[in-house]
Amino acid sequence: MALNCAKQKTYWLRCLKTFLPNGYTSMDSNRMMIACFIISALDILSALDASMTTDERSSYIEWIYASQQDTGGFQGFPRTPDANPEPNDSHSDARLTIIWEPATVPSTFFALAALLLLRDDFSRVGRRECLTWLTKCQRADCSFGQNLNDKGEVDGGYDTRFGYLAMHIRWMLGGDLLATQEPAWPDVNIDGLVRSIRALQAYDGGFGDLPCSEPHGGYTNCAVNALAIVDKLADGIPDEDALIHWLVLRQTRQFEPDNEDDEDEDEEQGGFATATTSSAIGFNGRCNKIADTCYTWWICDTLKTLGQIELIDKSKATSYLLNKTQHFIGGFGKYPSDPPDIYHSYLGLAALGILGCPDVKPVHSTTSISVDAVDYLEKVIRPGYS
Amino acid sequence: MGKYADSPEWADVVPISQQEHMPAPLAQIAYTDEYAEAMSYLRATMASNELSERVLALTEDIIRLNPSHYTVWLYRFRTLSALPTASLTTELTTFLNPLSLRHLKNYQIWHHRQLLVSAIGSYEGEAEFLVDMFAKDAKNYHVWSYRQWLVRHFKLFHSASELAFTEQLIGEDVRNNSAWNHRWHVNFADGDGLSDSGLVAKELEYAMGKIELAAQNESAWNYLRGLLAKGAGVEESKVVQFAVKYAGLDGGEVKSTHALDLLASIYGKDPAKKESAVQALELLADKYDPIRAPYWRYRLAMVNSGVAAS
Ligand SMILES: [Zn+2]
Repeated sequence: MALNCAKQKTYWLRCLKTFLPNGYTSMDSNRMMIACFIISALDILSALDASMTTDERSSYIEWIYASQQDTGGFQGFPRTPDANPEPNDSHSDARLTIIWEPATVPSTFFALAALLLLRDDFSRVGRRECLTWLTKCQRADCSFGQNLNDKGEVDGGYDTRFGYLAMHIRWMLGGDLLATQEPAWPDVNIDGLVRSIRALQAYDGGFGDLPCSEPHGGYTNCAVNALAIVDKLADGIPDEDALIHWLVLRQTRQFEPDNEDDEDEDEEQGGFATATTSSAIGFNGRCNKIADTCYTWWICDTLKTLGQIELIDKSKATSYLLNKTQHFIGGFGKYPSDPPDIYHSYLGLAALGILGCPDVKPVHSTTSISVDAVDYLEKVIRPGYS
Repeated sequence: MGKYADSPEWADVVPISQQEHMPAPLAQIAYTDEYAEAMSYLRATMASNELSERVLALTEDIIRLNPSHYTVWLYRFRTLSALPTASLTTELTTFLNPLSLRHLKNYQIWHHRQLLVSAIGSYEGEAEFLVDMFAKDAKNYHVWSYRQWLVRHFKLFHSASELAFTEQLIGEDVRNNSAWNHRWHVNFADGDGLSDSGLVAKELEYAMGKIELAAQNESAWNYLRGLLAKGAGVEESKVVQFAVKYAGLDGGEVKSTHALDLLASIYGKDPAKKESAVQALELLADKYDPIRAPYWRYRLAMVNSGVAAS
């Protein structure tokens, strides 16, 4: 089966133009991420321009900017107007956007990526404010958190996603170019971040959320891509052979949640994954788990960043997405015959862009957005910073 | 109309509804009326930074409707901390425990738990509660992360009860990689364990015993490989002796691809054993693990060129 481009476009157009079902309430504080996935998916399908009028495009851009904060960064959902709108009244408890609607590292990344995709020129992004705020989102141990609270403390868990997104914000805003300029702008501690990531490689080769934690496909991907965007892959990976070994071991033919136990029995009887009935290969996110659409992205993309995508059979990895989890109404489910959801539908599509599927645009490995959009950043936006 | 609009207790609050700012917003969600109303009261109490009993009730309502809203949790914790009457232990046992058992895939719940338990300063009752959590999903990443936080925060490294717990879960499912990882964490994450050759030898025996139960179990082989690579005093020849039982070369019986893989790694470093390494990798690529054939061929090329990998 090929990619059903018409159905895929219909799925994403519906996400763009109509209310998302009530089940997405759990994403209420992360609407910027959903917004970016919708726009990026249409871009990967080469359908972005045809999906919106000029007025709609500028409305989307304004909607994103409306979440930007004066003190730097973007929040993840529409900003509540201040009950007390005077910006200098720092004594007022009413300035709730500062306390309870903070800018977050993920929302800032997704807002900037969505603006790029919509070909905004970034002229209204508070660059100095954002880059300054970003330095404060780095903890004393040099890992990044989710946001800064009103007491100046870093909130959020330990999660390599934050460091990954922070390094990409810095790159999108040219923080790497500014660090060498006079007068110097504040910059994050890159060497410290690299050290903190380096400590995460586990005994079996993958990366977890903290030292000696269980390795996980998503954390591993974000660790490697954070290192790649600051050109520190060699410094941040203690044992690259073990990492590659762990990544290729994530390939599996256990696709169905219900059959997990049956497969185990087969193995106990000495069975191996030698069956040639299926040409599809899926990926799990952790050892001894079953395949899941999103891990085709997390694992294949990590190999791509490491320059080792040829270590997997790309056509079989593609076949898993197209023949097992692509849904007939468009989008991708988590498991075969699951209904599509935005997260798995987006990462399924992005994975196809990494695997060289001819029906989608090539996707850039560390960002998950199209190579086109990254070219626009590199050739139009970033040269304007110097 | 609505629970809050009709309540005299909330009559003094002017709700603030969601503002989209633009004619064509992005990622709009079809909220239930119940959620939309509760959120509009939340915006109002947040705007005045009210920290009160009724805010606790309001945040509880919203968390039940959407446990993923991160600032609601932070707001709730600050409210709890500000109220002299609020009991953190009650928050833990009567609010958070049942909620955690209902929303298994939620990160915020576990962060809130960390804040509460570090404020309370005791982990009493935690192990018992986690038994219920693991009964629902024995591989839940958030729950294991939280358990490892307990080990670090309360210095439970090498604790007999933590080790017994991993033994119990590995006994129930020998392929539970999270339990294997936790075992490593308890034994070795404090940094001293790997230089203790007695402990390393004991763990090596443990892994070998579990491999005997399920030869094709990646978790146990990875644990063994980790000990070989990082632990003090492991005799490679002893590991080889063990692995060949599961991966006979020269036409012998092969019971485990992981054994072949390990032998290929060890033999690949020794020029005198190059032929055996090649044979193991060819068996993997051609017969026993063809889904990873491109990788085994890459390893083969390395062995042939004299650069051994993993
Ligand atoms: Zn998934």
